[in-house]
Amino acid sequence: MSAHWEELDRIFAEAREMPLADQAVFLARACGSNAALRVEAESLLSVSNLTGEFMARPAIDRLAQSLAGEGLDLQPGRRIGAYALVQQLGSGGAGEVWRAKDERLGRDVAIKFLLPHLSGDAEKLRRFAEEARAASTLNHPNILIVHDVGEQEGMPYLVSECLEGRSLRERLKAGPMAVSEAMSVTQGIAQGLAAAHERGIVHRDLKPENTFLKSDGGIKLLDFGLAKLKLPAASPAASADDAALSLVAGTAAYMAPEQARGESPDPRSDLFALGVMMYEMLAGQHPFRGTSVFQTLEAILTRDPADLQDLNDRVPPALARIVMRLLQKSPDARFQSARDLAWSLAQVTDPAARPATDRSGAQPAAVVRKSRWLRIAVTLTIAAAVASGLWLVDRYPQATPMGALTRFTWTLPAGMSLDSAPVVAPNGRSIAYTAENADGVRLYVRDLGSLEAKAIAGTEGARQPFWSPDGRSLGYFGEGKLMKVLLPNGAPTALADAMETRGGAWMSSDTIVYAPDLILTGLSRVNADGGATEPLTLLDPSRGETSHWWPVALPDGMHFLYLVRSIHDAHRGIYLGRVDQPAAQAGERLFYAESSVTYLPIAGSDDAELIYMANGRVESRRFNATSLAADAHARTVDFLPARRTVRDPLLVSASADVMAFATSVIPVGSRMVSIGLDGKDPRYWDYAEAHLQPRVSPDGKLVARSIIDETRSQPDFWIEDLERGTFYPVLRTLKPDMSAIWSPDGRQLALVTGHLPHRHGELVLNVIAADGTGLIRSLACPGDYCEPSDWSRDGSTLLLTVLESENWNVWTVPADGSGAARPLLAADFNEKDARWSPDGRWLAYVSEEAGHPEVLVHSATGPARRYVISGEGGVQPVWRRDGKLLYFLTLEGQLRGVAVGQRINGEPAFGLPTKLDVPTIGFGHWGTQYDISPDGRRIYFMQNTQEAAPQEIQIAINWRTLLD
Amino acid sequence: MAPDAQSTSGDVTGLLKVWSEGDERAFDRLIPLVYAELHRMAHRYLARERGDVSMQATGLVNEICLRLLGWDPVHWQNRGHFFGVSAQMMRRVLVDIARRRQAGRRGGRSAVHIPVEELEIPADSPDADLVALDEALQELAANDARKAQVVELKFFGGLSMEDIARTLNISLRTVHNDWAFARAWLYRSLADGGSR
Repeated sequence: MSAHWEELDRIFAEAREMPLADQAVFLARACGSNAALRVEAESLLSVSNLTGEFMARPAIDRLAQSLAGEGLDLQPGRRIGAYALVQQLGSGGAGEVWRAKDERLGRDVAIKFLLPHLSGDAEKLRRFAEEARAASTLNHPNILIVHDVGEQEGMPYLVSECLEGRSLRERLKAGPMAVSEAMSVTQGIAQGLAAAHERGIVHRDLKPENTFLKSDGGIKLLDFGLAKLKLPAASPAASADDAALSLVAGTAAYMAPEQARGESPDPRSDLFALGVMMYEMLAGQHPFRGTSVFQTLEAILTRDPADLQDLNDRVPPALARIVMRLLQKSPDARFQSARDLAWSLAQVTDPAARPATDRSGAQPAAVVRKSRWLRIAVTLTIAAAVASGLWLVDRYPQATPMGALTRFTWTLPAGMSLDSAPVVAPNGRSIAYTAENADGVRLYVRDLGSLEAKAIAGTEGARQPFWSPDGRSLGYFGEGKLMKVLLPNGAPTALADAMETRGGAWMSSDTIVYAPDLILTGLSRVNADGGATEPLTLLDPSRGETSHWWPVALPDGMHFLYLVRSIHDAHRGIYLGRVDQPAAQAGERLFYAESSVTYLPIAGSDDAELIYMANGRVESRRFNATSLAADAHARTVDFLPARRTVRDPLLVSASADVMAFATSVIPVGSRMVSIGLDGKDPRYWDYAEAHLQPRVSPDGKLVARSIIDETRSQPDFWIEDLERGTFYPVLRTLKPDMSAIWSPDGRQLALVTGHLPHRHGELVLNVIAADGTGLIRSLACPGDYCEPSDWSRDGSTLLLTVLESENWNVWTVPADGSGAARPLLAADFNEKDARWSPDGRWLAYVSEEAGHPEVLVHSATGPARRYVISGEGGVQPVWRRDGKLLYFLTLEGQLRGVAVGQRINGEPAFGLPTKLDVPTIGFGHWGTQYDISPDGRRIYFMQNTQEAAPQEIQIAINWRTLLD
Repeated sequence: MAPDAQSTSGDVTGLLKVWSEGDERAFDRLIPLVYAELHRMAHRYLARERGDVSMQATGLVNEICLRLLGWDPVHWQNRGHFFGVSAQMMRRVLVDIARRRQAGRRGGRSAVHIPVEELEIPADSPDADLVALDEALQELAANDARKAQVVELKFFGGLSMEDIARTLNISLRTVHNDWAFARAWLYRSLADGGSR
């Protein structure tokens, strides 16, 4: 670190904590005559006041948002509400624009999909929608007509009229504009702005990119309200961030000085932006453009632009004066309204000018469809309430241990879904849960006899609630804290930090036991009135423990049960803890489990049922609250859904009489898609875990693939029997196993296991039995990494993709272990994922000789002549079983087929790549992400699916018989 | 490259070394896993976390890393160590994904009638600028390794300021100063380099 840097660091740290006004004085003194230091410090400090949202959210957040956008899988023909997508018109970091057909009205529309990061905040979205509609309802010819605002799978979209033409930005790039053309455009903008401003709507982000010049000469302003949507949620006035945001978005060039200073924009700020655009149209250059965003900003704040008439002597003096007046630093010195501007413009005589407003385009706004996220979710399923709750008011007090099972369903209001396990109060009379609607997640309590759930004030973002033993308070987690709230109307209080938590339990000693973090911690305890927190259970790394989760209070108020997660089966499971003892590692395991455990007290006895998940099934086990011992015998429970991800608790809880649970849990997971290569007859298999790279067996009946096992935190290889629906693991190790290939007789699989990042010579090429009976032999994995890509038809040889000193090559190795691996293609550039043609004469593989991947074919005996199959980039070659077709993916994941024939001289002949009508295949260019059925009719690949959160709570009174 | 607080442990340095030097390309094969996981969790992650995204991000990052790296008690000395390695891995994976997606995007998509500029790409969108940010961060590290680490832990690892202070064994105030400084420095560097 240089001395200059250290000095800079010190000065920055000191100045940063001062008020702005003091900073300048301090810097002058601290830097003395060192001008370079001062410039540097000033620049950093000024930037640090502007950084706003920059990097404020973790990188993964933005990536997740854009991935979620991808999840929508927009493609031609896809229906979104009443619209059928026709063609993509544009895309960018903020979303995508599509041309679509409104099938009700038979007209073309444009749909702009906004990525969720522009809309994470429901309130902001509501304001945006309001504003977009308000502008649209002006029904002004110079403002884009917004037909509809809706939401599809979490992605908001905006439906507008479909325009032909180009943006002003494109027009500016195309060459100089005549004065008359510039004036015509300006008039159009001014008319549109005037109409909007008179309704109190400020554009805030006017620029050539969102000014549209229609082919018929009309002018349209786009994106009213969008600017507001982009403001960070955290800033109420959004002032300083306005500047920061525009800087980040690169739109500082059209920002008025008051916006740059962090003041709220008003209509006159839009006029400044229009002034900049006029200058640009007339002078052919930007009035304030500098070499950096900061220079541009500085120029906007401090400099006067060059005289317009010096740059273009055809600009009439009156027009030049209008532009200069719009570019005044002080809003008071500009035109005070767009209407004034329009009038002044009209006074500038230019014979070539023609009216720019588009009267023909006016049409009434379509009936605006109410969208899901705008609707206030108050609907109640009256029928269900009458059938259950009301009836229960009379019925409930008579519930007895011997009573008959009674079940009914609470349906949450429309637009609301359950976010946590419903938890039954100790007295069985109320149920608490967290649920999400457009306004976010909140804590609700509903009495069994009431028709409606009550939202608990101040519990936004709550999750994982748990009752106090007296049933008067609830503990929960929210805003990074362990919280408690006294019912019904208490103010929530924070008790301790709890970042990413998994469960809490309120003991009768008024101590709360909770998981302070997601991983790598044991449980902690804190007094329910606050105070210091202390560790209570300690991880034992020697037993591979990764975390302690889901504490559950036992009736004595002293003991609790909890889940220990470990990489070892032998240590994973439910353990018993005591709240009043010094911190200690876990003792004896009670039983194996993979999930939270739920304690269901049995009325009139010391016994309870414990419900949990083990080996992918929901099980129950008898437990005695006095002896603290669990039965050795477990029973399978069939009324609760299995395969819930272990990161979440089982959605069940109970008092002695009343049980509440959710049945419709389809957790987020993956889906195997099998679809005909003609695009018809899709079939789906849904899974809770992530599944990767399916490989169809030679007889077409089995699919092998890697599954990421949540319990073990590792990918494993499993085989699914498509006909019988059975599913079994072929190899379970502690190491990731990824792509595998079938032997030609379908009896064996070759795959690699090993910890990639650790390396340490652990990588092994395994040949295993496909019937799940285990390892047949291990072969040495050549190079730093290897992966099998094909198995010769005679069963003798494996093709490998091998990494050798930063370079992928193709090797062969005898499958029976009789000889060493040998390089086959080992040029300096990458060669990988090789596959022999079914007759063994040709080799298809991916070569990056051209600097990007292409699929090539040459003779299996040597590269006498090479054929480039893909041409515009290609990966993942797969031959059809009859050898007459070679498939590959484009770099965008589109499947292509190339016909393979034979010339008289024995050389192959290849057709042109043909697009096949199947969905885009995701997950990038790595390995081979799909497979073709042996009959050449179907393709298999994986997609990710989303969670369908439960919208119903099942209530069972006298639940005992459910477990019998 | 190992954080100061961890230099006592030779294993850590060794592990990071193997990883950052040797397995550059082998690492590629892990990316589909991360990508699939991210993809799978993205909706849920977003749906869950209106309001406190950063906290969930820590969990997401750590879960993914735990899953992919495995939990090996011999190698993981403590939480700080795990955080450091997680953050570094996430940085590499996210930058790699961004780079590939950029490359993919350049290749395709025709028939553009509405200019792409109309949908401006914020500089902090992952595809647009993670790559540039990564380069700027390397430059920052050359001047001041600790500040670069703070950025790595916060921005890529999703850690809280408090956890960063514990991980690097420095005061909370230093973390705040480092973060403010680094953020301004990176912002300036990106804006200067990327002005239009």
